[in-house]
Amino acid sequence: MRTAPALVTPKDVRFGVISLALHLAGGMALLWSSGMPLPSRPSLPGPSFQLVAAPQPIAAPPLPQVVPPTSPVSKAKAKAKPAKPVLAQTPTANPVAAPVAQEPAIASAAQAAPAVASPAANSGPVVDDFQRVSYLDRSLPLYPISARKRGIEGRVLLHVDIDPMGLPTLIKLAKSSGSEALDKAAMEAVRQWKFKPARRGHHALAASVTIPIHFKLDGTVVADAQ
Amino acid sequence: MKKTMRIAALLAPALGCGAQAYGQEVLDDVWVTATRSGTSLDRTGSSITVIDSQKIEAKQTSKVEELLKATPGVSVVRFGGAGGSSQINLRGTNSNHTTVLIDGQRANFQDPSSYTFDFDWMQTDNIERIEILRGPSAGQWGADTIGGVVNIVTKKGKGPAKVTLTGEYGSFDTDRESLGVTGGGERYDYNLNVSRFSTGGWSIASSDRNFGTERDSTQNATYQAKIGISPTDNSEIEARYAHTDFETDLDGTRTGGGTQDTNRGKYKHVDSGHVKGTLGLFEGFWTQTATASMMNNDQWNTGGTTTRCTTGQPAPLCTGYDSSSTSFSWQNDLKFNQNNTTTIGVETLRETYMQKYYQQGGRIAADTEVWTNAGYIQHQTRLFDVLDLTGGYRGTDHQTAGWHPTYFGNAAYHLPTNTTLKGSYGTTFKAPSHYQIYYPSGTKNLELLPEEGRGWDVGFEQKFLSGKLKTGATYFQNNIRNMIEYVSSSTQYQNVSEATTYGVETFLNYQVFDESGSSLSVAPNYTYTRAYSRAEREELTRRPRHAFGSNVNYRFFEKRAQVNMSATYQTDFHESRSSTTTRYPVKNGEYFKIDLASSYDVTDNFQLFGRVDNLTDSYIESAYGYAESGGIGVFAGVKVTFEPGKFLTGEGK
Repeated sequence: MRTAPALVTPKDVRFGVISLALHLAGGMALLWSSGMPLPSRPSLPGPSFQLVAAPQPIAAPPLPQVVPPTSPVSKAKAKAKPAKPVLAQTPTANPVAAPVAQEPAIASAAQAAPAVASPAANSGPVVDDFQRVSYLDRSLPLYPISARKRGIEGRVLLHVDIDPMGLPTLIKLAKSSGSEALDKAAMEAVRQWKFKPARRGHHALAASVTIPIHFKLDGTVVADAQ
Repeated sequence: MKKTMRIAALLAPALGCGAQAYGQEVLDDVWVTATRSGTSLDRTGSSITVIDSQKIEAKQTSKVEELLKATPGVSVVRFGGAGGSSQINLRGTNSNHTTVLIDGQRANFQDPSSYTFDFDWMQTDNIERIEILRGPSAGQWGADTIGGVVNIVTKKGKGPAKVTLTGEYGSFDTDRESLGVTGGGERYDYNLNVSRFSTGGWSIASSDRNFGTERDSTQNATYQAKIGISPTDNSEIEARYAHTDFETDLDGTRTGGGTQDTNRGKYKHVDSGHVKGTLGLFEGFWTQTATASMMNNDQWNTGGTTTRCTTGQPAPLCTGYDSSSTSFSWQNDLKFNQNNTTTIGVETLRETYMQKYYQQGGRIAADTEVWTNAGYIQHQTRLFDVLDLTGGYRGTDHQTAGWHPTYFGNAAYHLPTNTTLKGSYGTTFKAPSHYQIYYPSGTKNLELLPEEGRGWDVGFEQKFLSGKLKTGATYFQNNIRNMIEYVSSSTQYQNVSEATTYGVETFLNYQVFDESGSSLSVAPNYTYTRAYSRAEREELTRRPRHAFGSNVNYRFFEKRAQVNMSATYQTDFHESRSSTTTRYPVKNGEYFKIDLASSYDVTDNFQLFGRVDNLTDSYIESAYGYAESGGIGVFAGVKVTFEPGKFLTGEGK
């Protein structure tokens, strides 16, 4: 049964040392067993995306020959300047229909004509250095206070038409998050965005894309007056 | 995110390469993350523990401090069972060195225990989350956060209207009931709650020490309401009000220390509330928050030992304490970009304290209204995506203690090995409370100086197994000058000592597995604390040197069932050191305690739960002679929830 409060001898130091040692040992063991090269830090809250400067040509892995000698980033930069959006082109025009002169370097890089199942790929010396639309300048939507305070989260899918200048022309709500405030915040933000237009060779193309925007609250907070 | 990208990669060759007819190329996912409010846990160098609603529900306890117990750096001192006051010491500092907030609003008030927050009158039903921020780098919430801040966040309604009923019965003639109505939409939320708690209790005066046998009972009824309305997407008005009626039997002072059977009692009525407006402007660049909050404690202690109130005399009432605090604040958060936020705020606090029929019918002097005005500025920045820095300044103008600037800062450095190195530093100042200034004569003790503190900590946190396992250790130290203590020879409060506290906090949280049907988590922690007066090189009272806490949670049956075990061990402590007339045992209070709690969701609307407190039937005291447990306690209850809307639309059963 219960023991009356005893006068305890100071075994506390011993206890502390043992506990601390065990704790450290456990930690070390785990560090060891998990194999030191740890996966990179899970994305911290905040801007959890990397600004994808220029995405690799999507088909890159199965098509090693197409991979340009220069890194995608520098290539993107090099190409960004001379590219003047061909405004004459109608957005929906088949881009392959206008394969104008290419820069030799790029042409050589792409010599081994990509025989990918590209439905639009004509036979002949088509240089398929197609590049997808990518984000150029995007400031994140504001998390609406009404939703933030009530813990409302969600995923918004937007269909966005992007002109060859890289500006959004039409923004449609493809799938609502279930919250009007989140949908609105997402659409308002995308309206301000700039994209790197899709292009084939020198030709910037119009495109329409789907943009998934997730609104997520990390529940961890420190008290404040808000 | 990865998944989506993979899908995009698969689709792209088909879609991307010119096939614009169906042209919905999917771009990379965009993540917009935000904290519900305040600072993200990953971005601060302060030591913070969050006790979330899952943990609160798993433990089932009705006592707030039981939730805090197994937390690094926290040690709880409870004067007996329900009804006895309960306090916490953060990192070995005094109990009135911790600022307690309810929904971000200061809840400490002037009372006989000099600004110590007493957790005993609160119930756990309506608590969503408790955040414990240790160390003095919490300057945003007050200049006197020597030990740190405990923020108790109450529940906000959400979703379709829901009614929740709970009832619990068990040992010591205890019963607990609550009724809650919650709900909300995109632009509004509400939460109305009534909780009642009643226990026959056990003798607060330790029967194991033969100090007493008479049981001390307690009743508590709490009414709460919290409502939020958003006139626009970027604004919110929130109002909260809570009222508690509380009454309890207590035991009286005992010669030689501790407490003994006498018919003492305490009647308490606590009101608290706030109205808070938040407005976001300029695309979220500027968020301003204006708050008015109040706290009022109206308390009567009965059965004193003075001539007017003799022992055992039930009424008339003996000593009344009336405390109030009212505050207004205006905070501005300027978010320059994702990585830079400046917070500027001002606040004013008015506190009153009155004591009636104190001792020989005396009454504390009239000018017991004190104003404190403060302004603060804080900047938070993230550099190179790896270094988070926060620094701030607070200027406090206290009506009697004068102008005092304080500083605070913290840093967190994230290494690619999932390691975060942390550190914080802060200075604090705490004006003497009304009670300390005016005790016992009612005339001002002009010699009493404010306490001044300086504290820092360094530590690390390490994540393993992609975050499933998190562990960390922090070394902390606090120096407090002019510490105020009661000196029996002068029967006054005086600045007696300079105190130092230091120690190490360690924790480990391990999610062993978390599958669709079951999960297991283990969270042990250990804290080493030294707290001593520098002049006398003597330990401060009631600071156990070693404290070990552990929580194991297992969910199974499609997670409909759960078992939660929490264990606490703490070593002995010193009782009062300065007394020469009374001799206390040198060592007190080593104890080991295990609590078990379990619940089972029979249906989505019906839950059975039960718990066993103090499974090992240990004798537990954290203050000499005050029995914190009456032995093994067994409790069981049911929880029923239903959505009236479903019945109205015929969806219900």
